[in-house]
Amino acid sequence: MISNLSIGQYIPGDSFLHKMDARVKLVISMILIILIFFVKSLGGYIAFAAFLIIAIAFSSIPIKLILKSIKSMWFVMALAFILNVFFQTGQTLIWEWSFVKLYKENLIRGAEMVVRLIMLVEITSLLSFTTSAKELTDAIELLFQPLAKIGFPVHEMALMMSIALRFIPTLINETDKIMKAQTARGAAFDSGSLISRIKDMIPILIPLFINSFKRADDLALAMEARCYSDSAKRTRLIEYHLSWRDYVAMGITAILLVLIIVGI
Amino acid sequence: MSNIVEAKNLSFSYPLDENERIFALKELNIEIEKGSFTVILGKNGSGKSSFAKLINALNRPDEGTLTVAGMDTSNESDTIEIRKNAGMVFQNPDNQLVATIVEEDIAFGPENLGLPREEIRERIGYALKVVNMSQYLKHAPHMLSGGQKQRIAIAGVLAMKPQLIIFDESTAMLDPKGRKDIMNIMHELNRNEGITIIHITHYMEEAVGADKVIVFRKGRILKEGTPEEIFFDKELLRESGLVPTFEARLINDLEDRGIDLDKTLDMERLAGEICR
Repeated sequence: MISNLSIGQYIPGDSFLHKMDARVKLVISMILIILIFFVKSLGGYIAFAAFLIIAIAFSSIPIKLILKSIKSMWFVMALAFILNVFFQTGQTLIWEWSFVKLYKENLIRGAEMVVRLIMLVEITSLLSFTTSAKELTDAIELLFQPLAKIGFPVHEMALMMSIALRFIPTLINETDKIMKAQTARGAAFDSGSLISRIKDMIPILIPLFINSFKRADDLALAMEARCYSDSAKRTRLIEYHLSWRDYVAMGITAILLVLIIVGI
Repeated sequence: MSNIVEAKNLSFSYPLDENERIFALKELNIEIEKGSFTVILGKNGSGKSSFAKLINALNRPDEGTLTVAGMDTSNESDTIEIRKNAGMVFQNPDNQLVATIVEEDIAFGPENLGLPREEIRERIGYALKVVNMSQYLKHAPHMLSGGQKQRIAIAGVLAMKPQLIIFDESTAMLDPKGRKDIMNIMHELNRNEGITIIHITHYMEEAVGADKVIVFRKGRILKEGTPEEIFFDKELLRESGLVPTFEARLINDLEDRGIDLDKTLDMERLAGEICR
């Protein structure tokens, strides 16, 4: 039922993108995600696409995987396209059939939306393909470090995030087991009305929930046994320092930023 | 040789409700020699896991003292030092791995100890080599089998370079092959790395080859001795409800029928005895 368990999408590697500082990757990704909504011209899109293609080339991630992640979003893209094309009025009418009207402006806007979504998916999947969960949570912890000064539990937050990520596959596996156990005893999860299907989920969720508490208890003990304490001065396995790669990436991002803002 | 674990008159209880407490361990006296392989046998509720948690200072004694590597576990300021010296591997392999990548999980202990980065890298390499999982450095733990996950958990403990490792029913959730692998690793750790092993289990066959076996029942020690002394004590077996290995059962049954064989747990020696 649940066969594919690639939630942590990280693909280990040695590429330029892999070796970049996770903080820089995270910040650049955020900037790009915002920037994508400020692109106004065809030139802007070309510059943006060129940037992403270069990034893919330097990531050693098979292009097939990136296309796959885009494909998984096809429904959202199709929906965005249809909403933009058919549910707005424009000026230049190019085609008409009973109540369906096609405007040139809307076609362009719909296409633009799809391109933006493709780029968004590409940015986020590049980030998650080349950055391990640990690096990502470390990066968040380091970036939010200033907040620790005013008493915000930055380290605890980061640890919670990484443990949550760690247990997603475990819990999915468990859900699968519970569902199979109940299917074997005659439960049917794929028939009936929507409401009855939601009700069918309750006997799955309850054991899952109870087991999670047991797991949390066990994990806390195991962590304590391995000398975890909130006051300890911890080392970080991965050292984070900016290298020439990060400066190059920041430079190129800055150029893209300027190009888009001045509006080529 | 000196003792690494010493329990004197050790009692431990946990609250049942507001004014009642249940004794998990009562007036226990145990000595475990440094560098030895000790197996603690007992059924559920015999107090064996409570004892494990006391050694690791996850719980503290109510009465009596428990000394681990020369430190009193009642002394809170020594807690980290005790846990560093006495590592613990738990029952459920899934619930004791913290990270999404093998090397990061093994690093968790040393990171907590605040060791320098190069040292941690070195220890990860060492620990993975000992448990024979070096090729899985960058793997995700959830893609591994139960036995492999348990080996990663052992590596995570090894990376803290403990003198003593407690296995709290670490084989209970594994398939036969995984169990055998973990048992082999335990004996290797004991033999090659000189680490004291305390293995807590309810599978009696896992006590074969141990230096000392301690049988727990209802929070007390029923008997302490070599595997042979335990396996051929028919009175004790009846009382504790433990089931010994096939070889021991055969020898015990034959003895009941008037055939005396040399008391051995070694299959080949037993075969030789029978043919004689």
